[in-house]
Amino acid sequence: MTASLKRLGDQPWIWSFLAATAVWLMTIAFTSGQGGGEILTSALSFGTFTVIVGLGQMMVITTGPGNVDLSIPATMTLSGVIAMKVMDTDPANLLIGIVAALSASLVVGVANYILIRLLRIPPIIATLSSSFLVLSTAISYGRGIRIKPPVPLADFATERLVGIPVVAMFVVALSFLLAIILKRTIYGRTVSAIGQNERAAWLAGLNVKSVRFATYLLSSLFAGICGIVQSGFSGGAALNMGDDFLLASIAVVVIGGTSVAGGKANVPGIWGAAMFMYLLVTMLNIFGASPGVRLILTGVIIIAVITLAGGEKTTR
Amino acid sequence: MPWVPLPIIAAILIGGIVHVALMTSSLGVIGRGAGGNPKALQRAGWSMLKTKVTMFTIAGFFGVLAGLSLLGLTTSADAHVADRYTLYSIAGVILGGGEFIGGRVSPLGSVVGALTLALAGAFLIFLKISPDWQIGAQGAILIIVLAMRALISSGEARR
Repeated sequence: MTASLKRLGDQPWIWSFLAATAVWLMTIAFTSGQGGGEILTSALSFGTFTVIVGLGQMMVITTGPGNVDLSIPATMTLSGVIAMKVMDTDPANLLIGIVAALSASLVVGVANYILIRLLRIPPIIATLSSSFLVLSTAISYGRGIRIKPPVPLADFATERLVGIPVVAMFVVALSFLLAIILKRTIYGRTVSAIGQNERAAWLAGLNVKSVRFATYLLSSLFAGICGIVQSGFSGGAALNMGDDFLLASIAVVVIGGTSVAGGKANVPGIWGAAMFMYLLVTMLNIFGASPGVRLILTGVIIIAVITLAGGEKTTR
Repeated sequence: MPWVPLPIIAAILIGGIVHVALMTSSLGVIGRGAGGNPKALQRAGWSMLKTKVTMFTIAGFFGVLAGLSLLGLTTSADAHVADRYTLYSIAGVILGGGEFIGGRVSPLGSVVGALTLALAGAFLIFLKISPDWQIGAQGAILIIVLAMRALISSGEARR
């Protein structure tokens, strides 16, 4: 037990939480204590979206070097556009809209895997090429119009209980579920095993193909969920709604202590990293940094956190 | 030379020089070895860090060259002028026969790959595809070409 506690202390995700806390403290020190709670609440609201796609990306990255899902932003957009158009502001169509949007996301996941598996295209190029097609579909389908989300969806996405967004609570539950799946189920253990040594996993009789397939599906599904919720949150789908999530989804995975080389997932780190990313931008905004300086500082600070977090686990 | 446009000469020249440098010089061999078998390279006493720094420096240098050429074409620059080249640079290498996991490259192939991508873009403009599907068609072309590459090389022995 003590050994496992000690291992917990060595976990790389500690760093992302420390960094998030440090940034938050610096921010409220600058505003002399004003708005500390509000900043946290909005960080939870916006960070949650990054967490959803980050979880999917984490699973994909964990299946080994080279595996990454770059179609996440396009899938989000497609899912959001389909959900808004099918629902057409009518709460009665809520369920159909969700089903339609998630089915479309799953189709993207299947297409991604077909490109990777059957055509043996490297995942980074395969998912990027497919994301172009997906984005075009979204553009063509959602042509110009901006439809508001149905009231229940918008309420759900923006609802807060004692300052904590309801969506964030759901995603915390989802994270716990995923953490349990990773540690306790055959599927989760196989994902890690493939990432550590694909050949060994295959020789051990694990079903490498179907697990990888399921992982890409999962990533697309999470992107789809994120697209729907975000459309509800921001009052409709936009064609550029996924743009920020391409790098963010990868950055939170890496900052959160998940190994880029695969085989080592880290669920809590995603949360710390998502909070950190949002709080960092907030802090730089409050400090009044210009966009250029903000980008440079964001880059430098992210590198610093990754160096700190990664410094210890290289000794193995 | 009045008959051949300069960009074509430049492309052939760059491809040729890099080919000779990568395939014959010791630096090129070490660089390719770093991708093919980093452990063996380290055991042989070469520093992976030095090799990687050198390679990234060279990539940066080529980035500067590309940026200057782009500036000459567009005659103006802003922070987002080269955004789409992230994809092009990777896709060109893969199209040209480079291996994604490293160790296997083809400088001339990369040049041809980059030209293919640029031509595909021009082709789409002439096809008069609706603007909605411009990006999608680019993705489709990429997939088709890569799929053909996979089919052709499927005869090759797999690792």
